[in-house]
Amino acid sequence: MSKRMIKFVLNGKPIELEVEPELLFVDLLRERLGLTGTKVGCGEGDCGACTVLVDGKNVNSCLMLAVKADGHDIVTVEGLGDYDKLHPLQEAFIAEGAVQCGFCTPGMLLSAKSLLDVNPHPKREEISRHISGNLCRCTGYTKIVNAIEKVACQGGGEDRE
Amino acid sequence: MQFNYHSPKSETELAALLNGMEDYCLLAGGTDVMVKMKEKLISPRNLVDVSGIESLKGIRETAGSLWIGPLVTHRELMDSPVMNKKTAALCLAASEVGSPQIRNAGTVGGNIGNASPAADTVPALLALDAKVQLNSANGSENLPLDKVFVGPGRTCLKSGQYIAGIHVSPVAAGEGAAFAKFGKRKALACSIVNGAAWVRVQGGVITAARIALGSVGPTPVRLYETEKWLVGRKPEPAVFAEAGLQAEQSVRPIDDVRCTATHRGKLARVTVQRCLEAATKQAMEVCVCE
Amino acid sequence: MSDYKVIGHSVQKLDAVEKVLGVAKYAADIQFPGMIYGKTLRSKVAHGVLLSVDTGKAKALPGVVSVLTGDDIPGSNSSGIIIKDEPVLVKNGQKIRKIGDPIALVAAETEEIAEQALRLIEVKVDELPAVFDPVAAMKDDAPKIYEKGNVLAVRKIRRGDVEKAFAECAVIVEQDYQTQMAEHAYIEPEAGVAKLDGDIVTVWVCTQNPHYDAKEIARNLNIGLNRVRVIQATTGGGFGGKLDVSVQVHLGLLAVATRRPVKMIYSRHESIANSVKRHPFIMKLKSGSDANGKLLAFEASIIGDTGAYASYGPGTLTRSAVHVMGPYEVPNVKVDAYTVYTNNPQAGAMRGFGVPQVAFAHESQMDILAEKLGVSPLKIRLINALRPGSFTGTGTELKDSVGIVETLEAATAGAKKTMELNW
Ligand SMILES: Cc1cc2nc3c(=O)[nH]c(=O)nc-3n(C[C@H](O)[C@H](O)[C@H](O)COP(=O)(O)OP(=O)(O)OC[C@H]3O[C@@H](n4cnc5c(N)ncnc54)[C@H](O)[C@@H]3O)c2cc1C
Ligand code: FES
Ligand code: FES
Repeated sequence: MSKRMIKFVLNGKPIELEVEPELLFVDLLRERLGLTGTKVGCGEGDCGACTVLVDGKNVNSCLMLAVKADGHDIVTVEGLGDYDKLHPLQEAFIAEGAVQCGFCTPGMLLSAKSLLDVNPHPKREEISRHISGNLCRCTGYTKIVNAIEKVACQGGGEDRE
Repeated sequence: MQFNYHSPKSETELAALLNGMEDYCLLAGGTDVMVKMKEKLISPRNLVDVSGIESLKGIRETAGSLWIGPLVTHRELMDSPVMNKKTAALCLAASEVGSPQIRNAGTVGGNIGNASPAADTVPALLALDAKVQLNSANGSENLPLDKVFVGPGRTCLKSGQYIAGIHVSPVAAGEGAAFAKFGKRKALACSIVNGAAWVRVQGGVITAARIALGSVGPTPVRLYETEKWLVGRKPEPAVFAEAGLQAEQSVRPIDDVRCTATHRGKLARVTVQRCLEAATKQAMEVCVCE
Repeated sequence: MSDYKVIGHSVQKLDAVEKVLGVAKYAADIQFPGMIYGKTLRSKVAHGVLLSVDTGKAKALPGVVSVLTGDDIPGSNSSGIIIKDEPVLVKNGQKIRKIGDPIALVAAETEEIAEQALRLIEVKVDELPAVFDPVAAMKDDAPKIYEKGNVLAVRKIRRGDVEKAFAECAVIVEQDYQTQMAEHAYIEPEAGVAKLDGDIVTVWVCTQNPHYDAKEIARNLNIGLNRVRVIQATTGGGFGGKLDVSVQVHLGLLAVATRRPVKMIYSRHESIANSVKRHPFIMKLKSGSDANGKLLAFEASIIGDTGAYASYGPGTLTRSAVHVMGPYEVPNVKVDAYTVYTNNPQAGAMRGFGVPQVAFAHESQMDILAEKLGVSPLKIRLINALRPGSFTGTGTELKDSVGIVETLEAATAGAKKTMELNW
């Protein structure tokens, strides 16, 4: 049905485009913008593989209409780091063995970032609770929590950037 | 999924838009609506996104009451200093909804509007004597929350009406409120049974009580009989146990994938018992000093 | 700690950088120009005979590129890791054996159109009584899922003289155990992309078994193995569940039929409903020991529900039979393990391959035995644990390395460090 113009900031860059109202934000990212780092594991809010940050908060992009991105600041895994400069969380995930199949990893990293950005020194329980909307079937979570804790001990995500 | 998308920017615009509109669905955080549309349980011709309406946002303290905008997210509720001070049980309930992602998107208005018997904020709101303000182009009305639910997934909202605000009573000195939830896991778990209780204790006896349970019937319920029975009794373990027993006997839960009816009955008993215990403890300890 | 460069050290995972950056390509991430989308029509009944499939309306829907049924399969129309008992698409007149059996394929310009087309396909089925309980399925009067009967395989182990040994036992523990079906729930649902390159079919897919996939595609497309390339895309977990074929053969068929790149992605619902499961087991164990706790005799019957198709069923039940006495030495053993067809989802490989189920049972046996004898759970295990020189239940002599005693001792030391133990 009738298309809508939306404007938002994606990984620091302003974006302006026209979308169908029924387009999901995750499909906008993956299919229209080619940003396939955001994954779909369930499509119904249960797994967190599609997690993106909207104004710093972790949300499931599979339950979000693309039109709802209008006016917001959005970060996906592609906005975290690159080959030359990994984000401290990305480094820690690698070093701590928190990545196995990797399908949960982008969402997990973003949930971790959304925690450390407001609470740079969380307790272990706070970390566990904050990633409770991100399912990982491979690691058993311990190493993921270790990785996030490691960054927290080093002074949080942003301080080191 | 195919629909006309509307995004009114004010309540006036919303009321006018809904007036006479057929086959529409309101959209707030979308954590219920999107799932239902994806599963083709609903396919509304018009999707009316209320999330851009400023007057439906925020938490405000008014004389003797707290006003919660329907667009307040579970995250905002659990993080709100004033709510934590005055309605901690509601904050706890909000903190038990889904996952951090769901709490960042999902709203209190949506939790009510979805009318799930398992909605987590609802028992806490019921225990806090919540009144819901329903607006439409034809005017405004205030309803006690338990009058809003008519069946699983069904509210009493008439065509054109929307939730414009929720009023709850703050927990005052000599009062206490508590919430409890049983799910299959600690996160992302729909409640098997949830419940809340509010009590006022004066001179060592309970002088008023409100108890609510969810997931034990087609709608969340208030236990009016037990509430009456409690008045004049001492806040002591035997009384809580008896109240729990009454709850078990009065509810009519069902068997489903999450739990058997029999076990739900037992959980209802435990929920009521524990909530009363915690609520009276708070009533007798806490002094709201400002 | 270690003298080696790699062994004993943590090494960086080869593709970890790509994974944290979000640039690793999983099957669903692969795009080609002109790509179309495939969907599968599946049976809604658990047991029946397919009478007819009318694809006329679906084919007429604008945007639909191709609709395939069992009649369009050039090759064998079968797959299966041990036994080729699973239809690629159930054909008219053939049997449906579970909810979810594939009946037709649609390829369309968009996923939505493909889904719409599925709803336009008219299917007639002659429904048959179904059986969901493996014990019931073993009875003579049970609905026959296969002509030759519902018991797919029986594995028997006989060692020593069990009857005589039980007669000599001071303590006997006899107990029934049951374990449930389990889903792997790898976080990435099944997905793949197929593309023709001249007359070569290339399939990128999430899989644990690319060589097997290639053979299944070749047999069903009736082309040489040299014309099939299967490339394992970065795979979002498998745990045994991605050993069987999912989208592979369907993609090959659609790519050849349409000569366009085609992609299939399962929804989580489709993934859970149609992927293999961990076998649910029904077990009866009998263990007997002398007065000192030394095991003398062991007897077990195991019934594994392999669902509608064999998958790894016979292999799984063989493992279960071999391991059901646990890591303990018993001179007299009798085991019967049955792999049984039902109309349930097919069960296959899942982490441990039939051993976790029996471990629950044999370890419970040891605990009960210890309790009856009044000895500690650790002691009963140390008395019976396999050591170098021991013979397993199947009569294999273990010549050198056997880790169980060492492991028990290390675990005990670890536990003692953290708490007061009163063995
Ligand atoms: C993975 C997952 C886990 C969940 N876990 C829980 C849980 O643990 N506990 C729980 O209680 N819920 C849970 N939910 C359900 C859901 O998140 C909550 O009900 C949430 O509060 C809904 O809010 P929303 O803003 O997303 O509502 P929406 O989906 O936008 O709307 C829900 C309903 O309310 C109506 N509505 C919205 N706003 C208004 C308004 N102002 N006036 C009238 N009607 C309105 C809509 O029309 C719709 O019918 C879960 C959902 C998901 C997907
Ligand atoms: S894909 Fe969005 S939560 Fe699973
Ligand atoms: S690493 Fe595989 S799901 Fe987390």
